[in-house]
Amino acid sequence: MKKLILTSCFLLAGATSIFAQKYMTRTGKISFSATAPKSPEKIEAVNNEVANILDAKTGDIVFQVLIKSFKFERELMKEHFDENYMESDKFPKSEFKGNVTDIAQVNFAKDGTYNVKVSGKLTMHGVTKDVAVPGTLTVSGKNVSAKAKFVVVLKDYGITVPALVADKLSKEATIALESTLTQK
Amino acid sequence: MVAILIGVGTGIYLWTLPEKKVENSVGMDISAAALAKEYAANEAAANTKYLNKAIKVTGVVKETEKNSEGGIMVILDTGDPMADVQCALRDKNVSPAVGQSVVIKGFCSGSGITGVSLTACVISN
Repeated sequence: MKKLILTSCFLLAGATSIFAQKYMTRTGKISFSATAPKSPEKIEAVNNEVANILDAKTGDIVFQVLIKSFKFERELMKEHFDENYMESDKFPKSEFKGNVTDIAQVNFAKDGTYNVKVSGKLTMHGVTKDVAVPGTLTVSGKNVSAKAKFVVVLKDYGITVPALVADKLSKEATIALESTLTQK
Repeated sequence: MVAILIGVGTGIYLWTLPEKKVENSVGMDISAAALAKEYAANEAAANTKYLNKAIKVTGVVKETEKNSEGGIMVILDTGDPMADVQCALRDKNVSPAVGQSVVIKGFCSGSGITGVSLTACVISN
């Protein structure tokens, strides 16, 4: 019986430490801009419902975003985005799954900003591509803020820009990620 | 002339198309637990039924989370800690308390690693 209790204690302690290395949020932010240089209006949107999980020990990181939750200034833009470009009925979510390759240099016990390298797979519009981007992790007590900005070529993800809207919609989109994760 | 007027009118209408408001839809009634269960059982089938549709979900507030712009995300208890239902409220000035029973109406945007998501939500009880 004693042994059983001891084993349970060890298991519990193990589970707690595994848990303690995880940081997460449900309210991360992804914004994108795909405005062509001469466009009179801005083609941009924000999503404040991004799920983000970081494993402080292994550096594994996941960002997941539901396409229907993007907010636009104009409803018409949202409709076009959903129906013509992202086809969000068919591909309701996008995801980045990767690793902070130099996580070892981040001291989660010490407040500060660390420049990191992230590489992994970005899935968008049903197409998955390898992506490597620089980012920052800012440790502040039990919170970690993750930030990254990168450019994707829409064609690479099977998204075509019709000639008719080429003066407004850029062939590339700048994507900015920003989230504050809390230790779980 | 008429054709031009219709064209311009349609253009203006589309240009100024108002944001979809969930109050204007009836919304399907479902409990948070049942919604989470349906998504866990078959995500594709659940998406066919709920994606982008108005849903009126009932449940108990498990926790709330604030985004960087002050928006509130309400997480509903489903009885399964690995499958929550999360509702992003449209208005920033409402924040239900943990343990409170609520009826939340919103548009379903699918399911992800943190559970089933509803967006542009309002509290309707």
